[in-house]
Amino acid sequence: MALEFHWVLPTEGDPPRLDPQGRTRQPAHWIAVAQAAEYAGFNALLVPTGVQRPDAWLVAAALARHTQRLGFIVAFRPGLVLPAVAAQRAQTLHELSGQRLLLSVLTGGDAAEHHGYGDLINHDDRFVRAAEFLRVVRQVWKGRGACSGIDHHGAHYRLQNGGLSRPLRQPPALYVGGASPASERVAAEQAQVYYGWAEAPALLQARVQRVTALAAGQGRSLRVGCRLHVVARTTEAEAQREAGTMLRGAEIAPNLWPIARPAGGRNGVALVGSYARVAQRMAGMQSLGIESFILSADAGLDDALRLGEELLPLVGARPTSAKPVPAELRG
Amino acid sequence: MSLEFHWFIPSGGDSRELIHTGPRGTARSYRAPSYDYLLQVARAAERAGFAGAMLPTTGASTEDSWTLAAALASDTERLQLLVSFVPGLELPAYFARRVATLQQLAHGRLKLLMFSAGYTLEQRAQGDFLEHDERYERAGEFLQIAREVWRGGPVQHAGRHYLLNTPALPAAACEAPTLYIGGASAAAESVTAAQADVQLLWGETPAMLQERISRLRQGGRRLRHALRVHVIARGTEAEAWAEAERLLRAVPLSLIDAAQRQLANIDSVAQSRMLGLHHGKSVQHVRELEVSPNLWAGIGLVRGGAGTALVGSYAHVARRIEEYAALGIGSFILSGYPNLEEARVVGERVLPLVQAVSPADTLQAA
Repeated sequence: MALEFHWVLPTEGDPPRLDPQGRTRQPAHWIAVAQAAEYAGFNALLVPTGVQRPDAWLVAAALARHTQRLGFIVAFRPGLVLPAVAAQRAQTLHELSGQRLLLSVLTGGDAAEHHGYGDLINHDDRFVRAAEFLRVVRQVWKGRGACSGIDHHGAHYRLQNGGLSRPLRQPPALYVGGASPASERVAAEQAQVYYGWAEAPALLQARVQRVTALAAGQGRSLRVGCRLHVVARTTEAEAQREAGTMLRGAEIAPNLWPIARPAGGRNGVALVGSYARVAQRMAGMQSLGIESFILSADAGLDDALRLGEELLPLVGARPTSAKPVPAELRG
Repeated sequence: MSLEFHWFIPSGGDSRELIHTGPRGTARSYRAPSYDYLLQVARAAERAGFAGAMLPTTGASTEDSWTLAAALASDTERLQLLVSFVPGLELPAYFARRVATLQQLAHGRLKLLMFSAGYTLEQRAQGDFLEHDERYERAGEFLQIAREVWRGGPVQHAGRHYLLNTPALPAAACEAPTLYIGGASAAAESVTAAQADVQLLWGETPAMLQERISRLRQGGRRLRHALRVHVIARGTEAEAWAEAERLLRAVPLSLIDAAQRQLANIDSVAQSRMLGLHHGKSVQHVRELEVSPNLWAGIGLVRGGAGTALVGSYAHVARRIEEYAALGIGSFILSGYPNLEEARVVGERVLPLVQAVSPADTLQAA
């Protein structure tokens, strides 16, 4: 399976030290980032979700109109919308973008987002509900049969005679993000790709083995991916200087640091180092079974271009080949 | 105040016939709602001088209006996007954020149309099991929360349908878009009176609409009125009625019966008022369905939703629009079969003939 490299669109804007006036929170800037990511050779753009961010579905729909090959990984949390509605939304976006939609389901964690929107379910039930949500979505995509639609009576959702009138022929690949055992179970049942923040090599290897085995137990296979922030420059010293105050605590593994991400409010993990060293660490992760890298950096636009030129050629990235633009995308 | 005209984006498919599917399968002239086609309609409406275009509610056979609107916002310059929604399928604060995002992407061109009765069966197919009147009650709560969230402060709400206690959601704060609310039941009118900026009416006879407009005005809160109606306009009366005749004759009788049975089961008051216009009668002559001068109920024989068309010469259709305007209706949402070609006919031939009447002035005179 080919490796894939994706870029994260910081819809909440670049950090204030880079963008004191908030220009990077504007749609015109998101378009520039999407076009830069496509030009730089990334396979897809992850459009994140979060209380401080705009709606990822709508942003992706707009950006699809300004790009040709780039995929869009739309991140969402089940529970804020009914699954049949999400399924229809996905169909329209998938077809409108020329089959470029990928979905990333966030199953756990962000109580602030769930509670902020009035979804008061507790952490463990969330996984059960997420799994049911995804089962319903897949059913709805299959469409209404010749005589009747689908009936579903579950713990969290109920449908009567549901289903799209026109089935979705090539459903989008499903990414499941998370870190807990519960999220791994959801992924094993549903996902094409399971991903979480990078960890020390031993932990990463254990994760790959665990999730692969869980999926095999269901007669499935999936790929494992890694979410990474990257601070890469020509030399180690420059990269360290650039990372500056972002680093928190001690180095987890060579070149791998915990970081604070003020905008998203969550902590992450960054590879900090020279292009060559960062490429070497990523190759190490590949050897542990990581096949999908979801990368971000502080400057959504400049760093997409920088890493596209300096890093992607070192790690064996293959840009999505240009395919003939479907009729509906020709403006 | 001048009149405002909107067109229609056929996100459930389009055709030169009234219905897309028949006993022999899909109509020959069926046009799938590909984005490519819908964009042509939007651009035709923009060029023909319409201020905006309506996107209908999302259902199993209609594309998602929000996604379409986000894309159309990128591909049009001035066209306002009137996006329909049914509350209750997503949480209100989440809805509020989607609105804020779309408003940002569209640079303020978003307007909202709420249909809440929806159709019970359609709602259940999407996973919503509340009954008709409860859906309106919930809609009121839904809108209250959305408006609070748009204001940008923290929100505390403990209602029958929603519980919310949240700090400010800056990504969801925005200027509230103009809100149209449709529906003809008592429950619908009470939500409209409390929450709407514009009452959305379907093309009933002027007498029927006058009654509804004055009933809503008794509530005291000042709001505007909009009319959703199809248009079949041609150079002469005879040509227009011949076109209506053609549309009607293309529908097999068996389909009319089947459609009527289906529509009769829908628990929407607006829908039964539409059916009441033609009583499901079988038709010998196309003008038997002319329920008021130039107002034709033939579309409602086979299609749910707004089931009437203004049929006539360009000049007559323009006069009828003026008559509606004189009742206080300041905004029109028009459509035709098919929507691409008819956008030009209506925009270029009919609208220039409509004399701007000021609904406000007319009212004060009355």
